[in-house]
Amino acid sequence: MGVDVMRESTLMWLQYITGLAILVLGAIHFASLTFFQVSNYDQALLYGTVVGRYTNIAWASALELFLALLSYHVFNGFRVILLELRQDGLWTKAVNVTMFLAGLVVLLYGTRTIALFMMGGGA
Amino acid sequence: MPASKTIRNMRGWLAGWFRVVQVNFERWLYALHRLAGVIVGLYLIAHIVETSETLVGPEAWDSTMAFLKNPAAHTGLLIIAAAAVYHGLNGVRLYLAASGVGIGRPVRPEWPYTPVSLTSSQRNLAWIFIAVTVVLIIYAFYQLFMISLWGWM
Repeated sequence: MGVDVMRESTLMWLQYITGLAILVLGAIHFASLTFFQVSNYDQALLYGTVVGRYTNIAWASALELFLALLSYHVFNGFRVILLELRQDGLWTKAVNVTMFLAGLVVLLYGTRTIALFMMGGGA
Repeated sequence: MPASKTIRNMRGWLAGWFRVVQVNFERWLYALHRLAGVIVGLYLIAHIVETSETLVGPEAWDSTMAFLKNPAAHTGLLIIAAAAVYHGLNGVRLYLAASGVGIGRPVRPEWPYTPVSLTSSQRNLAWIFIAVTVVLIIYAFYQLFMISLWGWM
């Protein structure tokens, strides 16, 4: 990520775009934890409420999109901070590869939860 | 400069972000923006692991939620909520400023050479976003402490 695959300007443009999309989905997430379709935070955290959202196609899609956007935005943000500390070929490559893999792991691990519920899994 | 030469940022991590030489409101907002982003980013990793507990079953989930229902954990959540709201709203201000919105027009440099961008409408926007952030933090406090922990409703 970053060195050979895409120009830095494109990566930063994506950083802005994902940030704006995260703002919208984050607002929905915040509302869903406090007042939207629930009466308060405690009710939002009930097992039935959480699983109900994972098994609803609209909620699950929104969560998956939120996760994907966050995985990019967070780990590209970390990458930019780490590259500011030091610049040389090896460090740049190590940071790019590590952040890409870390973002991928978070995306896949979060997707696993959503996907398993959508496929009828869970206890 | 040879391509292989290592360039180190001698300003360091957090110390560098917050080492603001001249009083510059926007510079402080940017340092806080980064700190808030790192906090939320690290929380994402913990949150992904936490929510995967639902796959184990209702007992595991309820047990995790019970473990996290205490003043220390809710204070942590309040800090994360504050960081997320601040990072999001200040991010909009940065996006607008980077796009040239609210930073004024270039003027002839005259003493005391204050950049027009630091006195233009983006600064008002910053205060509006800070006010909204504070309101949302109060609402998060209401949900996390007054309702969830103290059971006022």
